[in-house]
Amino acid sequence: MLAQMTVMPLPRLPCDSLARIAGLQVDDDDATRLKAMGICVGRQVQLVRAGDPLIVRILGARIGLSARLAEGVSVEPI
Amino acid sequence: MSSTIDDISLTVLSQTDRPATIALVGNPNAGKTSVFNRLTGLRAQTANFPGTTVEHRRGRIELGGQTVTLLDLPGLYTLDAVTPDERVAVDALEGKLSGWSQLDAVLVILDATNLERNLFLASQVLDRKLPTVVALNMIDITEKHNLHFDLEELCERLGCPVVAISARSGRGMDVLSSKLAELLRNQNVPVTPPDLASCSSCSGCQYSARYDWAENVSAATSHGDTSAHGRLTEAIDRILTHKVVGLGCFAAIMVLTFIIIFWMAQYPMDLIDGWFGLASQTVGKWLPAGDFSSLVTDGIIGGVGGMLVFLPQICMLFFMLALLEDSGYLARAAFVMDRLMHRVGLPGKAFVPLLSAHACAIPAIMSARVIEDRRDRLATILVLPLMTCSARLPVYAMVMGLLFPTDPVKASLLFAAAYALGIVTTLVMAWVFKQTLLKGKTRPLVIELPNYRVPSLRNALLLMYDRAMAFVKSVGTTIMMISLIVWALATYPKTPIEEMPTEVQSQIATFQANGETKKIDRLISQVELENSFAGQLGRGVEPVFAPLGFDWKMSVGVISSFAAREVIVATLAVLYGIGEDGAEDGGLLIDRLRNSTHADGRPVFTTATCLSMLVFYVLAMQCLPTQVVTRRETGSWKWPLLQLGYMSVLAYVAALVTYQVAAGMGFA
Repeated sequence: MLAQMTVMPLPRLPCDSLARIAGLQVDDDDATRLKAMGICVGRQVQLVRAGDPLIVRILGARIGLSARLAEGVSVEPI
Repeated sequence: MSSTIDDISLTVLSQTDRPATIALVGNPNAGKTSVFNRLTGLRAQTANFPGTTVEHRRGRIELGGQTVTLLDLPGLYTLDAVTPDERVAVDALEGKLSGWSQLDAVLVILDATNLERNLFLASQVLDRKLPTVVALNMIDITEKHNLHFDLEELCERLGCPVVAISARSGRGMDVLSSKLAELLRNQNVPVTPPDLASCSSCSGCQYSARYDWAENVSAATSHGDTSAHGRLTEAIDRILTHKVVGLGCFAAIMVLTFIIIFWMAQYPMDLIDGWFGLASQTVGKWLPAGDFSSLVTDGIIGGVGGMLVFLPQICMLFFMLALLEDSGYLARAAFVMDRLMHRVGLPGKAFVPLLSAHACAIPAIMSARVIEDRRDRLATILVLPLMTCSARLPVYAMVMGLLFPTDPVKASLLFAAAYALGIVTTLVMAWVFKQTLLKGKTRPLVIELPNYRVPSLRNALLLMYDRAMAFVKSVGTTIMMISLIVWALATYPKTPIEEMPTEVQSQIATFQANGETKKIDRLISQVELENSFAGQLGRGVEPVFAPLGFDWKMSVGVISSFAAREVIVATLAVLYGIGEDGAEDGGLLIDRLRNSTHADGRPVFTTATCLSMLVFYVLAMQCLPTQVVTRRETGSWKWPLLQLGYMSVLAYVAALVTYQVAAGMGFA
């Protein structure tokens, strides 16, 4: 229960803090694109630059992401 | 024709000794192109996969005494076929691609600076159980940052041979070649390690399992600081992806790029112009005067020259775009422009093609391939030709000369207005298309921002050469045909001097008495053009263009510049009796135009007419090569026809409104 309380949309993550991806609530096509980039449940992600679009670091690479899409990515800070 | 020949040779080859095929697979930015270029050099050709607009490159090379076809598949992140590129790559790996048989081997290119991410695709390819070699690319960069790899361990974990290479410096390429030759001989398929085999069978998220595997393999095989290389990139990105500063930097980089393109292209353009002028003169002297000479000099040499003169700009544009892309900057450009472009329903990636169209719509349409979504891409291609390309400049210059011969400030303001009209119309039309015909949500941005690196001149030159050849081949023959048709329309039927009006004949007699042969020639070509099919056509459509303030000569100009808009200047030069050479001397033509009058003595080129002509040429399609390239890129004639249709209607209506409003305000 407590763990679920801390789940938030990716854009709301404080800059530079690490989080684990908890879920994807996006279209199937977009989900495939996100997963191909490494944005998939269980991965560690870091918000590098907030805004729209925003930048995350995942799997050692930097990914630019539209904020609208990032809203559909829920994360759990660690 | 050519496809039939290809088909025949393919069947013959497959019956006998078909050359083995090796496909290159890898993430975008993994250096796949560099590896391909290293292996093939200039012996590569670019073509579309049959029945698709997905492009690939292939080349024949010698490997261990055997001829091998190397096939460069599109860069991918996953084999989960979402985009056409991915579908083609999957089909190729499964041997389902028409025109291609089963692959004999796969070469997977991994970016050593980013192993973990690249291993994901590798794991999917290894699952296909094709003979595979893995090349660990950019090894020189990782070594510089003190990141080392345990190749034996990696080899063990992947279950196939692994070679460390640097495609940029050529290091390890000979080892790679021998490994590939060995692979073709022994046909060893990868031995899937048990931890990877469980990925595809596991009930949970297939991706998650593969990423876990990639993470483990990367951790077990690399020693050192994996993020060292990214720190410089991060520092640069703090500036270049900034919400405000990033946009400023983007504007500065683009302005600089275009200054370089225009500045560097002008020299070869002048040279080509000079050569073709000289060639046409020289050939004209050799051949006996007459139709054949005119066909060769005006029709063929003039037509080909008119097309090739834009080749330097096209080349420069591709060259600069290749450098920008290779450096990693284009991804940032798409990133910073994304939010702005979304307002008109286009993705950020559409911006660079839109900007490139200011030099020439053709390379711009070809570079629209970076846009993944088909609807977004089609909308971009449809509106691209509305941007002011360099072929419009001679027309703009003529109108400015007519309107503001002594006022450079007003002239430059109107010039800027013409550019702005093109840009605004482009954005509005993109929005309209995305709301109607190509309705759909713009794909939200997901883009890898690769590490910055020094771009490879060699790759950029090869790409430029490739694109330039594609342009010449696909457009050359069509342009040639059209130039010949336009030439024939403007040349036939001939008017013998005896049949010319009496006042023309008496004028000729006067010139003859004074020995002014040049004036006679000009007068004759003027009357001949008036009576030619093009002239008749122009007179025929005059009523259509009259509401725009165009007289019959301008109507002929519009018709004759259907295939290439800049031709109107030369046509008007001939029709106003100063000869084609006269068009070079802008001042003379403008004087003539300014003094020309309708039959009732009213001046033809009033302010209203000039503005209307300017608006018409800002918006009208009037470029056949662009249409041919649109057909090539969209795979159907439907889109170029739509392009022609909507732009012509737009140009006509806008010019009509301009003329009527300006005339109503007393500028007639």
